Amino acid sequence: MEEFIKCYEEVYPELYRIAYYYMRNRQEAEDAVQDAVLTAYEKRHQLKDKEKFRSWMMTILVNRCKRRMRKWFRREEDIEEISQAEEKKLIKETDFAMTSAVKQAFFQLEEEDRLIVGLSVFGGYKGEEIAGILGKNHSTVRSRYRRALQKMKKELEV
Amino acid sequence: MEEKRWKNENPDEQKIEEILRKAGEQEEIPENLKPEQMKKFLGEHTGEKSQKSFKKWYRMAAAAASLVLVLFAGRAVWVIQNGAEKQNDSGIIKEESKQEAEQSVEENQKVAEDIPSEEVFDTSYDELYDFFQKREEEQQEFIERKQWASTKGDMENAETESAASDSATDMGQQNISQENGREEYADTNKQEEGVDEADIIKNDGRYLYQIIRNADYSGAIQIVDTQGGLTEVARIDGFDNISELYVWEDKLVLFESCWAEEAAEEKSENKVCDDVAWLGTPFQKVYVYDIEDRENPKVEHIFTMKGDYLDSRVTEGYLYCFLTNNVNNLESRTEYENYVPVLEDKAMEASSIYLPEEAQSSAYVVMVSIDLNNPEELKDIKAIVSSADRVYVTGSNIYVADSVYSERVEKEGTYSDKTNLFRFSYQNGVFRKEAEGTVKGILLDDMAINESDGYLRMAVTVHSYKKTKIIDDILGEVIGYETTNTTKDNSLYVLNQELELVGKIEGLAEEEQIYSARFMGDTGYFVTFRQVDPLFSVDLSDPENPKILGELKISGFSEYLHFYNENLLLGIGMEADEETGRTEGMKLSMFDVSNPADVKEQDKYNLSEYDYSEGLYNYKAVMIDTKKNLFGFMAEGWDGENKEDYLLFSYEDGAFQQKMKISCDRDAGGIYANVRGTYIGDVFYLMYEDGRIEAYSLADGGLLEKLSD
Repeated sequence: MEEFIKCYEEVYPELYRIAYYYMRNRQEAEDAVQDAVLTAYEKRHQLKDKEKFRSWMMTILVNRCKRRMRKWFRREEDIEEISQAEEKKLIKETDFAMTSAVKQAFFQLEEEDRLIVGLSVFGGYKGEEIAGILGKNHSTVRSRYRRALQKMKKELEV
Repeated sequence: MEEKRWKNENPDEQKIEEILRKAGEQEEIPENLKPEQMKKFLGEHTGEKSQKSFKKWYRMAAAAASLVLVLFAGRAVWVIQNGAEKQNDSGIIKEESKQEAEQSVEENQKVAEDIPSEEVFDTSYDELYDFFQKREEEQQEFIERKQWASTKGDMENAETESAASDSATDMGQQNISQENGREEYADTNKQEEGVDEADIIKNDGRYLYQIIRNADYSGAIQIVDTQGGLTEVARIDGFDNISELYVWEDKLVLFESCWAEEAAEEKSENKVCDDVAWLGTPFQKVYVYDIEDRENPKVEHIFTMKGDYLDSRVTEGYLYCFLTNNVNNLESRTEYENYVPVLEDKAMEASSIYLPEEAQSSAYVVMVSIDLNNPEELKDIKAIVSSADRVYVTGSNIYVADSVYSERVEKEGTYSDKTNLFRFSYQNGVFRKEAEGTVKGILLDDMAINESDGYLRMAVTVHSYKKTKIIDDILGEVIGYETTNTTKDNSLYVLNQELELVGKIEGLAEEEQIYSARFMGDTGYFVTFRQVDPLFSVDLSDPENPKILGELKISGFSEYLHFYNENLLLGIGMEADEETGRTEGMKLSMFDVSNPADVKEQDKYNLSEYDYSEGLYNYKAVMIDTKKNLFGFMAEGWDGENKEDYLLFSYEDGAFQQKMKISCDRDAGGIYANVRGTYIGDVFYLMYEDGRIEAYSLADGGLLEKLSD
């Protein structure tokens, strides 16, 4: 348990961030992370190469999130935007408007693209790792990433 | 962190990434997810649930696969059978003893006396097991050391720029096919003539095939007849994640990436499935359909293979499929399926696995062949213990390349990224290992490797770094190692069939990266970029003495190079400011390479209103038929509104001619659809991923008809 928690400690912020930015709902993201961590804990003996904990954990999370997304209805009103607390915090930043605009633009990306960009930006994963986690080929992931950023850029230029 | 991801050249996009990253960091992490809380949560929620093994999972997946098969073809459980010798009613194969498996190999060999016999390596299961176990121990030691030291200093150089841009280089052959009096049509843009590559659309001169995506993210295959107007003749629905397809004569091949979890869910939603709900084992399904009757595709076989899809090819009626597989379960020495690749529910023979002396990975690259005329079983299976990430296939050779980004060495010294190479010959679906070797540096992309006249040429980017000790100021003890003196340059290598280095040019374009490369016969071209784009031409006529012939400096850079004819080289890329290097939209260049020592830009065509095209990074997104003098791609830009246009060009009298510009409406079908183009005869087809197809006259650009989803 201690060892597992130690590994978890290093990755949990990015787990939550990626889940939240993918699912666009904080409660769902929190549940997904709990779910995924529980599964990982139960399967921990399967991971012999401890160095791979991070991408292994992430793969479990991505699967959990995808499953939840399918079951969980995708109503627009469930998509959270920016909470008041967050707004307060952000307002101190001079580039608050830009930050929230970027976040909005991100939320408008397609499901798969939110994962790809999220994994890259919040988790710092390499293209090959993302391809591995998502079971996609590397160049597809790369071009989707490029396309997603282009889309965000266009969105922001309006 | 930045260095670990692919490099983004666009300053605006870099800024977006930065802001997004900050926004993420400001996101408060819920209390429940803090480590202490999580510990509690785990303590409360983990009970005596029995652990399920991969095997059980896999069988569920296989059983689900067989159900699918029943629906499609009314054929029973054969899908999970490897040979014809066993069948049982539950769809689950009992574990085969090693003896039985060996027997079946012998039988296979007896049947196949007229073809080259399968190669046998002297690898045993014990050797494999011992190797993985040793590695596991090493890993553990390494991690412990790293954890101890990581508080004191930077331990390891970040793995760098894995994702070199996906531009390209083929032999310049035309992707044109003319057979049986059929009209000319565009084929998939590929690396090697005669070696077909999978794609998301296919065109056989009459029918169009494409992978389509429904609004609920499920996938389907669409077959459309172009004769006498566009008619959808078949649609095969119900896929989760189809990646690519092939059409070879009257066969259709599909690849589907699956997770054991999802396959089990398909079977039922009941509790039994639910409590073994996750395993996270990726596997591939390869569907082979008989499409002699295009209106009624019939499943001939669904192959099931554990692992991730890496790449594939089709030559002379054989499908070659490359997968990667990780090893992370060493619970039992006798449960082979836990640590060797599993194909068709059967663990591989140890004697089909090559364990290199200097193997460094707990992973396999698996090579599988299937005779498309007789897709009942796998023709040959070979694996290498390697974390290879690229294959290059010529008409007779398969090169497997393993990029090794950094050495896990805690010793002072100078290190470089390197690429381990393996050469297998192949014929009629049978693989034979021929050679292996190593070079410094990492390949740029699929087009940066090319074989000609028995020599392999490679353009690579070399990162080198130095490791030095960190000494504790007070105690004088070594507390770790740090990475310094990181350098980057480029090399060109020529290797013989034994994969021995025979010629090289090193130290090119320091601190720059190769953007694109292309080889044709005795000449090679490659592009590097800082502020201006030097297009280097290299004389390779003497394999032992490759020489730089010339260097053309022009503004911008080409991401994709394609030989238009023997004297012309087409570059699709970006224009850039010569002072700042900042990109200013797309551009086309046509280089006159009639004298490789004095290359000239014969014409350029600015597409400044566009700033992105998938074709820059994925050569299959470029439709090109040089015999027809036609090429096209979709480009995206912004001029007050979203511009997404499919552009078609020809090259006439030394100048680019824009033949057509079709505005794409990608949002119309419920998804944001990918768009590809192809042509048959005088008709150009624009294919949307949501199933819409538009036909345009190549003569006057007029819209002829539309097939709506």
